[in-house]
Amino acid sequence: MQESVIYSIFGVVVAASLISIIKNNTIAKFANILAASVAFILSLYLLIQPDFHNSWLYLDFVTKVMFVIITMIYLFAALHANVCMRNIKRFFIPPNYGWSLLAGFTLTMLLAVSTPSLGYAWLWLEASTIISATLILMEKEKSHVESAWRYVLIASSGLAIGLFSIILYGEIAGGFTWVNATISKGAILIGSLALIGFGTKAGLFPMHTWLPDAHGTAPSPVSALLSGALLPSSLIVFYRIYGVMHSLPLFYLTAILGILTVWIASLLMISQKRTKRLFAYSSMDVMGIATVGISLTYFNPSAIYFVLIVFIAHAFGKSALFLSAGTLKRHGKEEISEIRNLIGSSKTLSFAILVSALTVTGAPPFAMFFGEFGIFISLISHPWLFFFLISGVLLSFLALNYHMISMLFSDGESMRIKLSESIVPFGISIASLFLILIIYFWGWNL
Amino acid sequence: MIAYNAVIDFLGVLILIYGFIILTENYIHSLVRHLQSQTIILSILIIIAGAYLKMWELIALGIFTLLFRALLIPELLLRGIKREHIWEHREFGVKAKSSIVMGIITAIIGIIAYAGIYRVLGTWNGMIPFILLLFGLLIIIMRRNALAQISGYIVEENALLYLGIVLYPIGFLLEVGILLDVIGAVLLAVILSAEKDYGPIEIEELSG
Repeated sequence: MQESVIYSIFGVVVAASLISIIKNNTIAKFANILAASVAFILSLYLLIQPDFHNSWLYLDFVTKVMFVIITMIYLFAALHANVCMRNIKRFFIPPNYGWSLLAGFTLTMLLAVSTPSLGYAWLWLEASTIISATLILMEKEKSHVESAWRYVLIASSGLAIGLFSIILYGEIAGGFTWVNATISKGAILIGSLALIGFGTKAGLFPMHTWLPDAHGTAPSPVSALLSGALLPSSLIVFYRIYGVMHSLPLFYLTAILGILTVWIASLLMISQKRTKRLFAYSSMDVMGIATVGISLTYFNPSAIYFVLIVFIAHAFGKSALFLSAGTLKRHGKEEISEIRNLIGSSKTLSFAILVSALTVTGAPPFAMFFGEFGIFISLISHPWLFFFLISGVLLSFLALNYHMISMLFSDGESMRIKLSESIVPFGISIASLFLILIIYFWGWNL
Repeated sequence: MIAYNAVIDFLGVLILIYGFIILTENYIHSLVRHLQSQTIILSILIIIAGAYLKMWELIALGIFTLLFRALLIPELLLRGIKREHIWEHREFGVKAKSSIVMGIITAIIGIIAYAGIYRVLGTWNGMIPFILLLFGLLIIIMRRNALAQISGYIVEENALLYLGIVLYPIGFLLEVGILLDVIGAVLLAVILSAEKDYGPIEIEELSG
């Protein structure tokens, strides 16, 4: 049963991709919205199904949650893409091909998180690089070419190191599967290389340099997918490797890299001038927290549930923020300093931005808080790590919300933003409020 | 077995020498030709490994690498150079002497770093591709010119395939090889297309 549901999800996404190639822009749009809706509903249905695995697929709670996250952001992106596509003046690739690539990008992430083979997980992540880079190039601007170029070169070079770690893993473990695998030697070497390799794709310091450019120049729905789905997918592949390694030095290395990422992202957020680059650094900050959470699975495997809560809350919050940035771009506002008195321009968009900013910065009682709180509590036996993580998180909270408050409440000229341009971010922020209740009554019992 | 290892090692040394030459080459036209020669040698190595290990996937990969990466991509690169005369005989800001020094330092670091890997794997077979991988990364970092950076990417691809062949030769490498080539081709298409509009693409630094 689960197998057929998973293949149905893959099937509808592939169908949307193929229909988009051969049909015009309008049909491509509806095909993608329909496919995303069906895939999201099927992913929700998978959540209540028992775990399952064979030689091609691995479905545990982690995979199920990742399916929900990926298909949900795909749906948000498809629904809001119409608003953002109108910003594009010159297309590098025809818009219907863009729709096809959007579905293809979603498919690669679904495949990466559901395969029991580390080799194929690497393969699908690498495929996602080239598809998402092409999506960054949708608008024909020199800055977009340079961003895509940087992204492919840095992410592919990082993933090359990831492949190196997987080849070493294959040599030592005698195969690429991580299911029930154990390795007798080389845990630190393989784990460190995997951390560098997959950490590059997840935007961890110091391999993060592609991230602000790529997120900043991509069309907003693509930025939402890159931030909310791709970065967590890369970390989940690392989590699978980390689980096999089970090494204390690797725990420290992973936790320290995560904390450094939080600090660097928070410091860089303070000086940002553009909204999407600010949100990109915020994504980097959240991935740093999630990396610390993954490192804690060394002591307590259940810590992954806190990471998943962080991923879900981040998916809601960051989708709404990037899609809101797309709406603002449509009104010619990309710089933070240009956006003033947003509350006077659109109540719905302001509400979406406020709720989402508080969500992604882990303010209580928003959903991210529960995940972050769990990670902090799990880290309390390592006082120094605890201190540096919590201070970094506080700094990121202040940095992002300082910019948000200046955009929302400072005096300035207001814009005329239609309800149709803000309805998707607003809907996402309302859904993220319901998420608080779901996590409170159900999530803690996991 | 001894003859097989000797052939693989000999070809591996040739591939590494070409990696070093690519690192120090200042002229794009020559750089592409060196890249082509390196990839042809790699293709031969993969076909020999496939025949020896009786793995048809590796033979297919060797043929694919020969046709796509050793013939098609370099020809496209050279066409791009001919069309845009600005590329022809273009010198880089990077001096040959400093490239040689950087290459030697990288090779020494590679040998030292591989000593740690050797303790885990118990074989020196992966050392040459490991150093080649570092050369590929170094080319990407050192060069500003987009076409030269593609050559770094292809050197890196060659290193990964070579590493897979000598350490853990399995059918999965076929998919890896094809995907990496597709990425290389897309990169090339993007850059050649963008240059028509914007002129030479030079990335000042790979930082955001």
